[in-house]
Amino acid sequence: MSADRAVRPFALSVVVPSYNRRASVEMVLHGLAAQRGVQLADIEIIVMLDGSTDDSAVMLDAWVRSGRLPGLRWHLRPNAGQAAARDYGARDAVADVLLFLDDDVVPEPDLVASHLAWHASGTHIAVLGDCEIVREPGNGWYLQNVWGWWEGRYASRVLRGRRPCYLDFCAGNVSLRRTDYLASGGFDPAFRGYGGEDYDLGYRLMQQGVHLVADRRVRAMHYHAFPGYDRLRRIRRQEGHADVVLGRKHLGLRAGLRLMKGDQEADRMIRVAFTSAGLSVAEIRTRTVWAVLCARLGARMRWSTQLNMLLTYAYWRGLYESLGSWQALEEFRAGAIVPIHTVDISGGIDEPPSDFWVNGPSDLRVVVGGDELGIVRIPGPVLSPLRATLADRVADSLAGPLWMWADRTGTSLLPSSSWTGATVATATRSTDATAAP
Amino acid sequence: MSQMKFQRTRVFDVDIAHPLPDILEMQGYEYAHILVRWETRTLCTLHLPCPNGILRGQAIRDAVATDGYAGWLISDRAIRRWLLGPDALASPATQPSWSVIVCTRDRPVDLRRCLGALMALESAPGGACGEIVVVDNAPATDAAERVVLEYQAIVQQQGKPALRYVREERPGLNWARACGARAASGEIVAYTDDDVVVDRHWITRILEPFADGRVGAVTGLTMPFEIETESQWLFERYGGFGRGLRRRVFDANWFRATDAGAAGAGANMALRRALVVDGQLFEVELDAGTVTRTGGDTYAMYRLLVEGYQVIYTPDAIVWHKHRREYGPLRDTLYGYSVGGFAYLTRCLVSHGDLRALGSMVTWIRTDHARHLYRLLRRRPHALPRDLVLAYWKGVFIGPFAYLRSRRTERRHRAMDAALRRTLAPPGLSGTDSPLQPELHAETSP
Repeated sequence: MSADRAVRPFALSVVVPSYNRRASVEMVLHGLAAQRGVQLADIEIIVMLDGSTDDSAVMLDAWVRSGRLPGLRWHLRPNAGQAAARDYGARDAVADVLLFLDDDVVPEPDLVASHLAWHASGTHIAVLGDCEIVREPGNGWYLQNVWGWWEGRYASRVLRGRRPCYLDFCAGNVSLRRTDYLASGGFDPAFRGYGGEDYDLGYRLMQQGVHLVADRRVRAMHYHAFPGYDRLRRIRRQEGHADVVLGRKHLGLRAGLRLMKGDQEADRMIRVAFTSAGLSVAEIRTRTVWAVLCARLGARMRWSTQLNMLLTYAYWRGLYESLGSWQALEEFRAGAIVPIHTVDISGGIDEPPSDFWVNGPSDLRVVVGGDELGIVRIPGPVLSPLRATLADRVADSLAGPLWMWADRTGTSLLPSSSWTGATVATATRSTDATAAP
Repeated sequence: MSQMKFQRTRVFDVDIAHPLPDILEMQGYEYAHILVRWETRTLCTLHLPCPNGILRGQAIRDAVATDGYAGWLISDRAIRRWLLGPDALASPATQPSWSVIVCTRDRPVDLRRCLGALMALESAPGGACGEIVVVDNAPATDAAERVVLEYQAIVQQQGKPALRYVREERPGLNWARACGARAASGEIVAYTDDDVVVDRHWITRILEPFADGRVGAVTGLTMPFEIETESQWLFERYGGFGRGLRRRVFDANWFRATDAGAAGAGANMALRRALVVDGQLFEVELDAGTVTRTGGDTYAMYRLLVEGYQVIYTPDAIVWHKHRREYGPLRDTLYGYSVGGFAYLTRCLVSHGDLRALGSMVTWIRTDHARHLYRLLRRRPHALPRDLVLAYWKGVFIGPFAYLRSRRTERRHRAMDAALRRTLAPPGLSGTDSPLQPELHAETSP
């Protein structure tokens, strides 16, 4: 059931997938109704109910009848996952610019205008906005950690010298041109559970030359709540499934997936996930009870450890369910393609080519003055300024060979003025500071 | 008892980016305490003897060369500098707006020295020009205000940060800190004390970690300004303010929040102003001005940690603290640290129900108090004098009661204040609009 399709040209289409979150979707609509700097009639809003069984439809009908959002429409379809819901909505949209919002992401008043301002240039870009976790005093540890994780990601992607990569493409608050979306093939319905579908689309967009632009002023508020330990484990298990789908689809991304490396702290949980199901159930119950107890007693560090164990188990259990055995996982890992780039650092480190950002993980053969210093492993997509990261890796892994090369060739790595001459720099703690003005 | 003899020590810093002389004159000094830096960033500290009042540059070179961590840092920074160019270690391009808050009370000489150094602060290129707010806490004289007026003339010169004077009549360091934060306009409020001389690059370095939104507070390295008297020498041997030379990230997920004192002290810390003002981080039941004497800064960092923020310690943000020259104040200082520390932990226990405070108490006694007592009883050369150790131990037992007493006093004050407001305020006027309020804060603008 849906309202009549609008025929007027919209400036932007908002696609909001939802599953049984009536109250949350209503907050999103309130946020959209409060947009500034743009006519509400220019915004098309498509709410995709992905098999919702609550009274979301009744609420949406009431909104459509009220006429507060002239461009509001909604569809109720059988549950097929977020990716399918978003894709249906995007293909049904008519505006040139698509804005994807999650159903718990409430736009700030300037959000739509900010997205449109970026697209005014007509270039092929995808604009990544912030979904700032709403923080309140007394938030639980889980919410604090989620906020910290996202805050770290948002802060890092706008650092000087950093370019957003496919891991920054989060569909909670992102806009792009409709033509680019359709050319990329759109969201892949193969991602049925939680996660993976946005990374997949981000990767394909980058491959077709769409630039990702991060802007912290393009802001929405993310109303997140602790989902409970069971649901957290389910989400993490689905991430395991999604990583397998992603790795099968893009061999070039496989090397950067979490499944390529173990987790030393939780090695035991990884083994358990791939062995006895009975033992797993018993251990998970014990650890969940332990985590709840730690939370009650205020033992945060122990709680963090237990939660990490539980989530590690869930992720690897998801891998096990998708792959079937440890042997299959080893084969999957062996299929990863790790391209080797050669970097000549004789004249310092230059900005790497853009394909480095697109493909993410690469091994680097570091060459200086025609001599090979060694190979630096880049274990995953770089989420920090790349030149600085490469310098860190060289300083960490190849310091010995580099100093030996400098010694052999008479190259000075230290500035020439160091430790020579005749005056001491008592510098800032000068006694002048005690003088009267 | 074979206690170590007082060694007059000259304190200074050298930057290996600048030339180093072959011979440094150290007449009258037995030792040199040296902060070694490279391009203004900290490398290591050295404590070297000065035989015949002379320190040879070669001795400094050799000491740095044999310091493993310094060697690693030099190699790391040299490689990065060589690969990325001179701006390899530059600060982030965008710097948040800042306010430096100096809380003072009847110490015009110290304040003059402190402001002199603050006037020389350098902002990052392109960074916002900040302001300095001097909070005069229940002063007996107007000496501090006159010092500020003198410096306000300098402020008129281009490029100097604005200087403001604010008066907080309620006695107490945390009242002053909170008042300073309310009066400040910067996104970040950096606190220092009036007996501190800040490094020229202090504000740039202490602001750097705030590029990450998870960071709620940043602390820095506090070095001794001088070691001229036995009292100052003993304070440094007790441990001083030093928190090490390695950058540390404190996060409640892997760090016991009640041990927040390990992150640093109020003489060298910066916080997000919104968190200070909205979260009322500075608890007036703690710190100078109450019987608890200290602990207000640690409690603020504890609150940030339990709220999920990170606290960063960066040794590159340097200030120089002038320890008390006299012996009596030293005993009071050590006693105050102990009382304040245990009062703070009692606060965590009583008001937050945080059982980890018990663990922190045990750890502190075991690693610090017991160590000093052991050295004293075993007559070890590094032992502190008996009266200092006893004063330190006394604080363990007094601290919890001091907090409870301070809390009771503060509650009584609040009740009296509320009663007074009810009596004086006209009907319909809320407490915050009370005509009493403006009298508590007076400000003179430049």
